[in-house]
Amino acid sequence: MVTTKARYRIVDIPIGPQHPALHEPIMLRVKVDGEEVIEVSVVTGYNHRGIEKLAELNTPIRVVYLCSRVCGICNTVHNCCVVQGIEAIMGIEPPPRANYLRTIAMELERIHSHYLIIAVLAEILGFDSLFMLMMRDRERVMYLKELLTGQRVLSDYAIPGGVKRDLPSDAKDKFKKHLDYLEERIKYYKRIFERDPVILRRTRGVGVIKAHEAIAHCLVGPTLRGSGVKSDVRYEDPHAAYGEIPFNVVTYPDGDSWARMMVRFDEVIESINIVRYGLEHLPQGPAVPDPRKLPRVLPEGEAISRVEAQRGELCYHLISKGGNRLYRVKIRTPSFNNILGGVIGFREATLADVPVIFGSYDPCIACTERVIVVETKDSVRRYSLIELGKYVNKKLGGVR
Amino acid sequence: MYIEKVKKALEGIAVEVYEMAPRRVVAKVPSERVRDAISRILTEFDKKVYVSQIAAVDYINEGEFELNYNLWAIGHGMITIRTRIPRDRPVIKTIIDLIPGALGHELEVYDLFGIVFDGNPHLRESFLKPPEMKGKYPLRKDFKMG
Repeated sequence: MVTTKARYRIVDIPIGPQHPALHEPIMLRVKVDGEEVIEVSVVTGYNHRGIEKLAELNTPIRVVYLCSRVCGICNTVHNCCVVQGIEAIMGIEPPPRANYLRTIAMELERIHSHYLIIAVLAEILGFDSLFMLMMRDRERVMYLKELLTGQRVLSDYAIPGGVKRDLPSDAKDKFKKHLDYLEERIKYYKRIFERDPVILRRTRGVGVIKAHEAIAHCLVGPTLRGSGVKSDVRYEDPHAAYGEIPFNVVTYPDGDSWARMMVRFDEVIESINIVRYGLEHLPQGPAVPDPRKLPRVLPEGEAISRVEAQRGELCYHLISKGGNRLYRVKIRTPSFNNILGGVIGFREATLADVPVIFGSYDPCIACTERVIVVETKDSVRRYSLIELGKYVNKKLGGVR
Repeated sequence: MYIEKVKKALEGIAVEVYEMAPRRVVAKVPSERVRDAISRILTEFDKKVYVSQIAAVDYINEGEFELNYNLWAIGHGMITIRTRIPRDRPVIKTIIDLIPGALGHELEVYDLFGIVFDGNPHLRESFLKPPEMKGKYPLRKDFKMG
């Protein structure tokens, strides 16, 4: 029970939906006792657009373009994921060259997305110059993406049966030049994150999530791998050309905010190597189908399409009953799992840690768009989690 | 092959277990046995299973909702626990005590389909949709837009 005296000491602080520390509309309702966080609830619902309903009402080709617009930063992965699902229902196999080009596009997106979140976290920690330097370097990835796909941001690169356009003939030299630069820079930034005492003190041991908790709370992607769980769609469930390209699955055992960021640093280096390998071993042959000949009618069928997006596993469940509409399009974005499940990471945090922990999940609100509660300490001195926490305690032998 | 493990775990519960595509196993289960099926899967795969998504589908002509619990067994593959519940009494037992991370997925299905997860104390409407849409379930096939 919260005593009357204690109740006066507990303050509700709303962070968001519009707030300098958060870059998208979401609200963290934080209950604090002094500096100590005793409860965090996540409230979203500021950005729901009903895309799943819209997708049921449009033709499959339109759905491809619609799904690219679920999220701006990770549009290529959404695009590739839905195209993969539609191809599985249609029974089309994309040519090997198209698979390699899709892989390169997805990895470029991973590089710029990881650059972005690391820069954002640097800004949250107060390192504004670091933020600007990283954003300057990120521009080179955007340039490479434009070179490959024709667009900096919304590329709509994959279409059923292939990709929208082939690699320009002079692109390889430009790729080499910029990838070398990006690799050198990311190694430099990684050294800063490894050595800077302020960054270490703000991130190490902050927002710790153990491996079994991460799995039980359905975390995905770098957030899961930062807790030492080796789970990566590219490795476990190879799609596009990932089955043919060698790469390492990066894991860090620590489970804190620092580990989650280090996973991203190492993944950028892995991604640069994947792009290099892909360009070197790019198969010959056609990659661009004639869009006018794309089938407009779907056969009856079902597909569960998965892709490793920058933030983790992206999953589409597509059901067709024949005709020119999909019967059901279920989209589950990685941030949905990470934002809701990740509330467990706010245990024992102070108010200043909240943006750091939340930032370390790489939350994407456009993707997520949902809600809810979780963690609490309902008295001033003693921790006791609410219902969900009790379930966890009972089932997992005690989180805290 | 993990399909054998799934078959072994769900023996006596699943009506049918088949492979839809590589690394995609579907198990059809009666709605009252979903919890048993999921807890047996958890035991069989040493708790290294997370809920990838709960995909609800409205089969309005058949008068049923279909629920697809897409579980990812880490290092193995997708296990889809598929069940059907009547459309006029859309109630099913919650699984958040088995897998706490299923909370968000259950809330989403409740909000957009109106399927009640019995035993989930956090269920509430309009956590996704606007408050004025309370009592309306936009992803049901009989929901009219506009």
